[in-house]
Amino acid sequence: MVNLKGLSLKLDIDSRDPASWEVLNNFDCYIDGSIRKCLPPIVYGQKPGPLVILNFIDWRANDSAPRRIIGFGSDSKLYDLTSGAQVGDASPYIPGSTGNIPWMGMMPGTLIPYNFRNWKATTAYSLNDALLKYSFVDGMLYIYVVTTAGTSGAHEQPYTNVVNGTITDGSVTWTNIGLQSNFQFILNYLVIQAPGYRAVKWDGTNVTQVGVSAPGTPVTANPLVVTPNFNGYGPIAGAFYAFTLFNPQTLHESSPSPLFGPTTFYATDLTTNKTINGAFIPPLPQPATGLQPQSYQEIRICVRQSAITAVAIGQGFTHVRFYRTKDGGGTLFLLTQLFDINGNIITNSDGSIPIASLSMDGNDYEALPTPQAAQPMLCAYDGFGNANLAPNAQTLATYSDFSSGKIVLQVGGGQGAGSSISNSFTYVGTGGASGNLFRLSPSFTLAGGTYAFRAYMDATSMSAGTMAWYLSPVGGAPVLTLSQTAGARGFVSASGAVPAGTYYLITDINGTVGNGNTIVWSDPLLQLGASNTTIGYPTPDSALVTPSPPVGQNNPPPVGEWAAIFGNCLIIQDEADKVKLWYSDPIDFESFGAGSSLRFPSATDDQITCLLGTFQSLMIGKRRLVESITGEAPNFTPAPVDPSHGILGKRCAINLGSNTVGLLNTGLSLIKLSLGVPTPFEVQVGYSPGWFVGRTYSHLLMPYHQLPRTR
Amino acid sequence: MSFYNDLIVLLCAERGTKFSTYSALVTQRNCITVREVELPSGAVVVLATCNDGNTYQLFAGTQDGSITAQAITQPLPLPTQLPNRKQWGQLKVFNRMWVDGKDITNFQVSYSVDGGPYSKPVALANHNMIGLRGKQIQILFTHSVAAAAGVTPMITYVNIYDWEFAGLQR
Repeated sequence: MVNLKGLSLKLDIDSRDPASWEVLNNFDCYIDGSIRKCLPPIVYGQKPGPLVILNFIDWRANDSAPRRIIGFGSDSKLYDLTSGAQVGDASPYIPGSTGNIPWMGMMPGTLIPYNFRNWKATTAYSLNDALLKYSFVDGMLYIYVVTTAGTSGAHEQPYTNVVNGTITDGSVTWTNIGLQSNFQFILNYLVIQAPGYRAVKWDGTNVTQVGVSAPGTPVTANPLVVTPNFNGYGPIAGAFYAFTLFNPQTLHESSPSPLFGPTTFYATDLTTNKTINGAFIPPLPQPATGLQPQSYQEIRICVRQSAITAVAIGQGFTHVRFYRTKDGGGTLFLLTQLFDINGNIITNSDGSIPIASLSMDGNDYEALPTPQAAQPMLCAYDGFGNANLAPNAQTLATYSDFSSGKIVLQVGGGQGAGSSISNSFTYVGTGGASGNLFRLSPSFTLAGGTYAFRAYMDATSMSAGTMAWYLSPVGGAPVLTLSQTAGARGFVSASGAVPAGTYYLITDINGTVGNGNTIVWSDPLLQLGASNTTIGYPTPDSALVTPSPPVGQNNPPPVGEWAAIFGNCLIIQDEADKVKLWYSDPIDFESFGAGSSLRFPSATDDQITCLLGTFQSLMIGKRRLVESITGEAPNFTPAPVDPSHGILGKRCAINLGSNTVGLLNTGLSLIKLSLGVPTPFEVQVGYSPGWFVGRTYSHLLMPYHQLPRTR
Repeated sequence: MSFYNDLIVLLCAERGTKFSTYSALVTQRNCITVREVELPSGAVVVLATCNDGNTYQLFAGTQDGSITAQAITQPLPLPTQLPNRKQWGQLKVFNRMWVDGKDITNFQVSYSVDGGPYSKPVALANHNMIGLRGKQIQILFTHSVAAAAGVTPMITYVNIYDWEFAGLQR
């Protein structure tokens, strides 16, 4: 009976039973066929303080940065576990002492650590202030940072496309630090999902909430200035305005504000019903044939001040973006040039506007069908300036005695340098004297006052005589005259008293223009006042290019219970509906679409207890079953894994190759997540009974105050 | 407070075996979270935070005897390990056992037959006298003292090479 090999405990898998050791405590299995005593633990780093660290992770800012061990303390503050130093504070969003162990993970995002402003003349700029501008050289969007603080000059300087190149602007020096999309601004955010709270993110310094509230208040649009021509914006069906909240440092943007049209409500301050257009600008009523048409020159778009300065969810949203539909359209497009109350362009090159640059322009109402009083509004202006009362180009030749030569009408091609008025017409010469020819606009009325009149004339092709614009009363002599001598070109202006009455705008030629050569009248600008002021017309539909985020697509995450990362998405379990999972936009972990959720109901309303990103799937554990999803957002495909066994707690499962080891009611078990073929006659998917240990262990990551004692 | 877990389960994945445990974090330092992490130095280690507020690096100390390691074999022999399965119910006499390993002399060994109490621990040697009688025997190895510098206590081979059925002549 010697050489009884069955009693050999040689510890290799080929010659011993897997259960050779009934107990191995502080021993591990060592290559090959041995057990060895484990090394004891040592204290790592500095103790953060009189608290416990509930969870931790090795975080790094980007792929080339060193790792840091960041722990989440029971006081909801973040600590560097190596140095013991506090490095962040989540307690404003996650009250301390909750005892709930949070989920922690990293998601890539953007952090541009500058204070973005817009450019204004003779304005003080400090270090770390930044502009976002297209370089005229290559059309790319660069960031220009103040490297020498000072006061800007009278005019904006050309922006270099040379990285590290500088621009001297008054006493300010701007330095091009690279493209907005530069890799240097990519950051791994540390995302923390504490049960019962909204997810927060840490950028290495600050803790802020993930996402931003969708604006709940509509834009209030008020057309302020209407021009008696088509130079402005003349919708036929009408258009809607909306806005979003924008964080220029993270580039995250909210969902658009709601679109409310004409709304009637009880105005508590007026003690009467009131109707406003809301976010809608209606088509202008056009006059009868032969009279001047109308268009919007200046539209004030306002947002309730408290709606953008006190955002419910989200921090750092210091900018807004305004959007408008095309005439009669349903898609919102970014407005890239808006003005403040003084006519300054306040839109950055990325279409964002610092909230601080919006104008406080009195109180107004919101288009919400609820009793309300007028409230302080912050406004921007789509179009700006005193009304241009000059008639429309298309109608300047309504009455014409041009009997020779050819008339060419051009619309959309203003001739003057810096022209903002896009209409002109030309006279094509015959080579002979024209005689005194003139064209009359339709008549229009002016209130009495001082008017400034400016227009462009190009007489370079005229060899003799003059060309002119006249503002002339019906049946009377001109009150304002603009003349251009032969061979000259440019803007000509005049101003003076104009009695109230009915007027024509007259274009006149009395000279010689070479055969086939042209002379040009364009850009008439007639404004009330002693001098002409700058005009900015509303953005034409043709300039609306960049669509807004879809309505409801960039919402913040819900109050969550737990989280996971799968398919480039941040997955969050809904705290109020624990069988529902929300998934983020795959390229923006801060955006959760209104419909970006999946529910996993069961006959027993078994709630999700565990999320684990695994081999090709996200394992969704419940107490009595296991499911999974595969694929990519938004086409996730749910699939059952094990209908009979579940996972007890949030951190009670780990990956093991293509399988998962999870804690079941009866002990630890292996859950196969891939198709297996143990023998030619069976296929195995799911729970593998051979892995029972038969001893219960504590739920490693459940709230500790809810746990039974381990032993 | 001792609401946390004080036992860490180690899975020997490659062998498809049961779990071993790591109880080096004593009861007063119950564990909250265990993670494998990469340290700023680039080293990949296992850290654990405990309810004393400290963070511990596991498997990082020295064999200073601060922890006690125990290993218990399954009851032996198994029915399949006998020439005839019917002999499993017969009484046996377990005489001598051979053990290989490192730091063997700092191990203690004791025995239990048929589920009974373990014998008084004695120092382990390569060649060990047992002298117990029963149907099955379990062997308990214990190591709780400091090992020589640079030496990892280890058991690499165990064989009860001298045993017999009770009442039989060899």
